Amino acid sequence: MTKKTILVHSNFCKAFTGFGKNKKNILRYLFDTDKYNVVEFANGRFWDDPEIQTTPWRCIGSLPSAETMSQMKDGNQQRVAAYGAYMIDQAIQEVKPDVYIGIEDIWAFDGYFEKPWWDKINTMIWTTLDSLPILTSAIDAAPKIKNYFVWASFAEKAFQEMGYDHVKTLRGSLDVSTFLRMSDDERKQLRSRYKLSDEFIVGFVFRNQLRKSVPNMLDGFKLFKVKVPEAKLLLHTHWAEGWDILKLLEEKQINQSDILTTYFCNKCKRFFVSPFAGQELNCKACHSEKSVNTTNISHGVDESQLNEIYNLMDVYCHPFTSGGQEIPVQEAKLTELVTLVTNYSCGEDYCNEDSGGLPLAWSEYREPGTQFIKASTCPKSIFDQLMRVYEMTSIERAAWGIKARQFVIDNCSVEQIGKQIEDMIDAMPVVDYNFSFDAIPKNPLYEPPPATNGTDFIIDLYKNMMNETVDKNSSCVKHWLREFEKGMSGQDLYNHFKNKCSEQTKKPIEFEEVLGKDDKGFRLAIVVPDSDVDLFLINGLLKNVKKQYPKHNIYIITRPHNFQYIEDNVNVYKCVEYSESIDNAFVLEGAGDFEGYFDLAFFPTSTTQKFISYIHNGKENIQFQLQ
Amino acid sequence: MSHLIEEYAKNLGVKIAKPMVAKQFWPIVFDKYITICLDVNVPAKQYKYYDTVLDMIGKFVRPLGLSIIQIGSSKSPVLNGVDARYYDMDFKNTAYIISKAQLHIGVDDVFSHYASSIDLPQVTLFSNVYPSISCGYWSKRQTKIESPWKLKPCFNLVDSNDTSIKLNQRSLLLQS
Repeated sequence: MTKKTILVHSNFCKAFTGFGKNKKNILRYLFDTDKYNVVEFANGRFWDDPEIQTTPWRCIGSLPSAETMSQMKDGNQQRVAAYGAYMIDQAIQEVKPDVYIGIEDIWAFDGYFEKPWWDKINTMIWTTLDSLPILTSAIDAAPKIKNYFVWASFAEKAFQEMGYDHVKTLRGSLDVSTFLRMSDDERKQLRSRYKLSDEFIVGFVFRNQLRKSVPNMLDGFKLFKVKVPEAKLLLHTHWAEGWDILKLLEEKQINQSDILTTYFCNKCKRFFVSPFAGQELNCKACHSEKSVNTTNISHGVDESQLNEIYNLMDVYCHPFTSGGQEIPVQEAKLTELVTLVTNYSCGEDYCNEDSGGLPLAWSEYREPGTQFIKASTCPKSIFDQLMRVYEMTSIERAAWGIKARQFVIDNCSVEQIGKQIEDMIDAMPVVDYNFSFDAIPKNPLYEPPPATNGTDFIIDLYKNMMNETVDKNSSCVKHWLREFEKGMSGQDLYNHFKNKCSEQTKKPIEFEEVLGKDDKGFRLAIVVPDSDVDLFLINGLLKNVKKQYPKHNIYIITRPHNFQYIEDNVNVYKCVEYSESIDNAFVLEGAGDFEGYFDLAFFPTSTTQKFISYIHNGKENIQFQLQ
Repeated sequence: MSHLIEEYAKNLGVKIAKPMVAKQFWPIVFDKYITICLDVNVPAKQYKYYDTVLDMIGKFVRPLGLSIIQIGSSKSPVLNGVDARYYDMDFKNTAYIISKAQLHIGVDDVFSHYASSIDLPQVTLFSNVYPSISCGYWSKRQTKIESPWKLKPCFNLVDSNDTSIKLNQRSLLLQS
């Protein structure tokens, strides 16, 4: 039987990110079944980057060539390129997957759902959402994604309330063998290594970002410290980014010696736990100078070391504003710690008794701009739940811990998640690639039913004219309904769609069709988008251009209404219609593996129209003769 | 001097020659005439007192048997005192009309550059750019009239100081 080909699209599997780790787990699981041809599509890496050729499965990068990237003018182009926007079509055409699995933030898939291949192959989106109300683009995507998965159940519930029963929860996967509770003796030894003994250690593992509620954590701990003098707070994070923890300690009058942190030596790769004492410390183990800093994403502990850090803790506390999955919560559970988690967003899944967790109460605030609901965790709730765990007997705590570990095994282990994906893949049909990759045509000739100002009319136009699936929740439908309220008629909307269709059905210029058949290697382009004066003046230079390049055919690339100012010059081989995509020397002349279309391409108006820099107050003094 | 065409010549790495235009015949009833063209696309180039100037010019040119033809866009203000108007024509037809003229009056547009390329005498008004940058490059017989800039040209489509309307009518008349 032919193996199905699976294309898995996310961060590179060796990236130290939540997406990267999850992808590694899933790829490994699918690969080990030996049932599939597994291909990785790695975000943020070049298509044929040699560094990504070290995986057991085929791996291709989502970025076009370095030359193409260097030509991208704005950050947004580079951002979407990193997500694969420029290479996904090539990847699909080349790999021909039976199943495409995209695992990223939803905006990474912008434009994918209108691709000609999207509904022709089996596609699955597995995305993180962290706040309510659900992101508009994620709602817009709902009618367009048949296999739509979110990492946390609060998002599934929100989709269900909107009528989308097909959106399901599939949690990010963890390798549960990495994190384990060590024996009591081992834990004791571990503590003694860092001059710790019977302290009650509250732990928090996090990247020092503002969405991690450090001030709230400190307030809650301060209350707890009053009741439990032997308490310590271990903040496994980097102190040189995000929250200024030192300043917060000072402000809240918390003794610095009560706050522990993880130091990591980037030379000997050992870690140390102690109160914060600055950065760039000398390593007491390998004696390297200035090699020790608080753990960070560049130089940080590996997973087995992180497991030891969890094993130093008596309880794990994770207050946050919102999050997609919060992997440290599951890691802590795997080490059989009772976990206190803010009861919002993905935290809802990990703060109940069944999950070996306790909820932290929170107050709502709104994020400026997005208006998303965010949680400010109540310090009093942190204190109460810490006290609850503190007052548990060791047997009770152990029972909660066992439950916590089992919850993660049952709900997040790579075996569980991988099996669900495997079953899904097996139920999907093999894809017949006998379909066109041309853009799906729009239909300006569609005759709609009698125009109304209703939702159904809008949805019908999108479906039959634009070939887009939308529904009552889609932002575009809501937009047009608002316009109807302001006085727009259904006929106006139909006319608008007709115009849009006509614009989009215009055939883009195919260079091969307009270039000479026998002048390859001898083509010279002069790109002058506008204006009449520019064309006319350049007309006055062509005799000498031809003299310099006698074997070359001269192509003038401009807007059609300008042809008349230059086409009569006998040295012009052809006038070609300009489009903005032509504004790129590497497209015209080639770069890397791309040969290009022209031997030479000139952009003379770049200093006179695009970036006016030739005026010099009329005082330029040219040393050589131009006439 | 840093003329626009010099910038293009430097970019293309060649010396300046002359443009080639296959002008196309257009029937004109006058044997001898002056062409005048108003710019409608660039507000900064719009001179508002042509009627007065033409009225004064007429007194000199009529005895010489010269007619006045307005060319350009049908959106141009209609000038009083012209003998014919040829609007919205192809560049090549307009080039034919200009090529048969005795004098061309206008701003620094494609027609003035064409007139320059055939060395037709011309009077050119410059309002938003230095003449040295945009004058007729090939002309030997060209009169350039600058707007009275406070300091420098605005280099913009719209001139907040409206310097073009402050052009000295008498100067334009005399130069013509």
